[in-house]
Amino acid sequence: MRETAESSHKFPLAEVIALLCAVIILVAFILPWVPNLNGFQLLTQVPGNTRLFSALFCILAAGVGGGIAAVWGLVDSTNRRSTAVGALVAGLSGLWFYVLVFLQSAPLVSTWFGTGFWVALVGAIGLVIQYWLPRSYVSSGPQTSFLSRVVFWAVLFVGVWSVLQVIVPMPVSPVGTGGTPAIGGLTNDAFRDRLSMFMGLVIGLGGGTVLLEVILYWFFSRVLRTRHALAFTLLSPAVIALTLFTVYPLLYNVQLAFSDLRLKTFPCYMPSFKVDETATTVSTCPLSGPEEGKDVQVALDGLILRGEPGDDQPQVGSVDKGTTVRVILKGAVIPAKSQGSDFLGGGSDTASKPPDYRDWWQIKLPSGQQGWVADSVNDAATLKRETVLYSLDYGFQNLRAVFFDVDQDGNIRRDANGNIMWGRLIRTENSTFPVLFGRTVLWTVLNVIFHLLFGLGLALLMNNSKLRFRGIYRSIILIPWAIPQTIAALTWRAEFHSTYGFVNSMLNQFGIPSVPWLTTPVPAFIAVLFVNVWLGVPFYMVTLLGGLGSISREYYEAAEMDGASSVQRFRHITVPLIRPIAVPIITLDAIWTFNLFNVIFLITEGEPAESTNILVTALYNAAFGRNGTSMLGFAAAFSLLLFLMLLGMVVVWVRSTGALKGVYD
Amino acid sequence: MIDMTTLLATLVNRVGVRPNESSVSATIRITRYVLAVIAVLIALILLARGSALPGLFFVWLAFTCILPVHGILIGYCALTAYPVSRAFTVSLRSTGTLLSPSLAIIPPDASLESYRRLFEKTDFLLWLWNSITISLSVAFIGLAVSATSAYAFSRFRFPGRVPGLLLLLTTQMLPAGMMLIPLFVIVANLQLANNILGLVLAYTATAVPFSVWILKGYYDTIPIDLEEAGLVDGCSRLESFFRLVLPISTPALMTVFLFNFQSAWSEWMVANVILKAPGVATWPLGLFRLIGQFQTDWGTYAAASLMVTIPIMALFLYSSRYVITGLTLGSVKG
Repeated sequence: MRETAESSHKFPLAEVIALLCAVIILVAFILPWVPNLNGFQLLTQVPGNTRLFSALFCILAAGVGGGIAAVWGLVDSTNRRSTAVGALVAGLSGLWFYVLVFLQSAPLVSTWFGTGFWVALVGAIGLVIQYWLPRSYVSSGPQTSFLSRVVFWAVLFVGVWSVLQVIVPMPVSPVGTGGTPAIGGLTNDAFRDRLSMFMGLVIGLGGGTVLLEVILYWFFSRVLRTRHALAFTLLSPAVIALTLFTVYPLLYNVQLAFSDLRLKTFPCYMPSFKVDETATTVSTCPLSGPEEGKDVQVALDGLILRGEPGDDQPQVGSVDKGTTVRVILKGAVIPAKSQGSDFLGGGSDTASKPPDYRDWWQIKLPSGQQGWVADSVNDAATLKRETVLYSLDYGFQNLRAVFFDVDQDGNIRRDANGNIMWGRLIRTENSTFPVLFGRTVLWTVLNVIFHLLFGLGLALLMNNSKLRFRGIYRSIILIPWAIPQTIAALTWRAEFHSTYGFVNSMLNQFGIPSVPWLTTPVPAFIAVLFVNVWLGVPFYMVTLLGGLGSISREYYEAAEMDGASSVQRFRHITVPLIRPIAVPIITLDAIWTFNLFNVIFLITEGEPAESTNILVTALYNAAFGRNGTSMLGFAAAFSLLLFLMLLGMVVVWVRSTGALKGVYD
Repeated sequence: MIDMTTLLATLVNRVGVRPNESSVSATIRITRYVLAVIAVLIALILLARGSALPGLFFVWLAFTCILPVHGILIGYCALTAYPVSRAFTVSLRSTGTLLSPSLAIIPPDASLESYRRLFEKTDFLLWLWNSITISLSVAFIGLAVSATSAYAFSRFRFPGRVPGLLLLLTTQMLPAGMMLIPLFVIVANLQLANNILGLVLAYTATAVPFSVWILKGYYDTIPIDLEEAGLVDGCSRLESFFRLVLPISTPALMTVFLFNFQSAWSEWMVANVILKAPGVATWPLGLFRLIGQFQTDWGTYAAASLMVTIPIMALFLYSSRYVITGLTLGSVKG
């Protein structure tokens, strides 16, 4: 064995293979450019600049990198690992290029281009093998990494699959070629498009970031001559990302708070039709859109044509994207069909909700066929907007409207006794600022208390390494944390249904009458609270368990010898030692809960009678909701206020508990 | 053959007063056993009368009296697992019995009809593919961006460090609607609807602060001597980061990757503003539109939610050890 190892160490087999691969990839690179083979034309058909760029960049890098890596390995065989990694990366880039072109030209694969793909594939397999083999033969080499094993098996799988493709004639593309119907809506185009977006993004953004960092480093160290050049360079990507996507929207939000912007400032978005952009804007929202007697282009695919307006009317056909249709009658507003057999909170549970209105247009197709198509007012705007006015006055009005009931002239309304009236953020008494604030605080406090109570309780129970089935318990308790919050919330919503949900079924089994969970205010709040406690306990359990595990057993043993009872041990050892871990978690959790939108919105949407809204959901409902004011300027001012309030509370809390001690060192 | 006398002797021995035991704890122990016996009797009566669930409840109560720790943990596990298993139940129901108050985990008329409908009637695979590419992009880019930044925060002292860290923390306090309103206006003004790239970048930016925070906390726990040893051996600063610090930080990196992936995976509010066309919908949007349809098909919904949940749940549970180490060392010592 030793001799084998020695000999393989001396004979640079791996490097030779790498060199061969590099040559193969380079040849494969040149091949498409040979005029007779029409390769160049095919290459230019790869749509999108990023894709073309990444393709050109990759294949070049693949060839050159593979070659350099191989030569380097030949010259200096101590750098075997780096060589192998380099060659591997190069090979994969080449492979990626071919995936790109291969997917682009699925019908052509059976001709010569397929050959190029197989060549690259074989090259890549060779690279993996050469990375793989020396590890198993050279005893002194480092262990094969997990990644290399994954790549190895992946490439092996693709290889076997490709061979099968050659032997067994069947559609070549992984998702069916050209005209074959897509399963689950995934078409060939969509598959390629997203894949290339992902690869292009990772490669392009990754490469771009490295380039940017090099330039910035040069700038900081040579031009500015600062000591902190490296730190600034390392920070730059995050700073740029945050500035563009967090700080800028934030500042924009401040600006919007001083505006009269409304949802209706955007002429209604009609996703179904392309409206003439030069037309003057219209002010009445639901009935805007294409005029009667005008020809418009359909902007969406698969628009359903119905015989009569209404969702329950029979379908008489469909309209393709790009068809020019003539509008005969516009804007018949019909309530959407009541959701009779809706399982989740539908049926009797939502009887109190106003119906969802939709607008219907009667149109005439080029073929002469007539019918009705629907459009929903709730879709967002993308068309050009009216002018938005900014002024300090608007800002003041917006802020005042958060608290007080303001009439059209800007005066604060008073009730019969002359008391100032609180402004309603949405519609009912349940959405005035003090009510919402009180409810939000109650919601946050209750959540944090229950999270801590259950989390700590479970952690204490499980803080015993000898406990049997500990791993199983832990995995099961972690489930609520592991499943997507949206799914959890929607599933619970179904389970709180008064007739079909399991909560009431279980209560009935114990002889307790059904509770109308989502239609009466207090039970609805309890339901939402329960779901969020259910969702949040695992996080506490896990982090506190980690903290408990790090407390040395010696403390307890010493205390036990001194005759401390278990309660005393908990109070004087566990509590002080778990505190540094618990306080930051509580802080984070309080912030998250205060701002929690998903759970409440998905389960109740703030209903019934707006009694489960907290500040955040009220904000969303006020801006975009059915019953809201749709005043975005006002909502922006509201959100700003909310943020400042939370910030103030957190600062006070952090100051008093020292939750962030140690951040600065 | 069980020797009845030995069994009885064991029982008496367990129940009886032990040496070195205070009278209080002995009383508690004996009360527990008595309560357990009572609970078993009630359970037997209830089960005999055909009320299964209360019967089970009393069986559990009896069990809890004897083994409190396991009893409570099993009870809590039931509370977490049963609601999740309901999705499985509903997905197996046939169309006729979708709406049923039955509590059985496997319905009597189980069929895979819902799954077939999911693939034939909806664009489920397309949603999934959109979500996968978006989430993976966010996870990779977020990791790459935050790994280096966190290192700078952890190891370098530069002007603006403390304000920067506080700014990162502040971004955690932004109410959801606060980003949504400007985003909505920007998307409307620049006509960026249906732009997946923009969505990825927006997600990445929201993912960065938390990632930096976790990673910084983790880097802080790595002794600086290690890098100094590396520097002495001739590594450059960057080399010591890539060769020494990063490999050790695998748990934290895994945590951040998973967190970013998961948050992008199930996000719908921002996606709802940006992605309007059906062809670019992510699965949360797809499922919402499915629910928004009239006559919601809950079997299909349950099947879809199960297929979306199981892989990520398995991944999460599989890597939970990594995640937890990363979290406890990162956020907690933060």
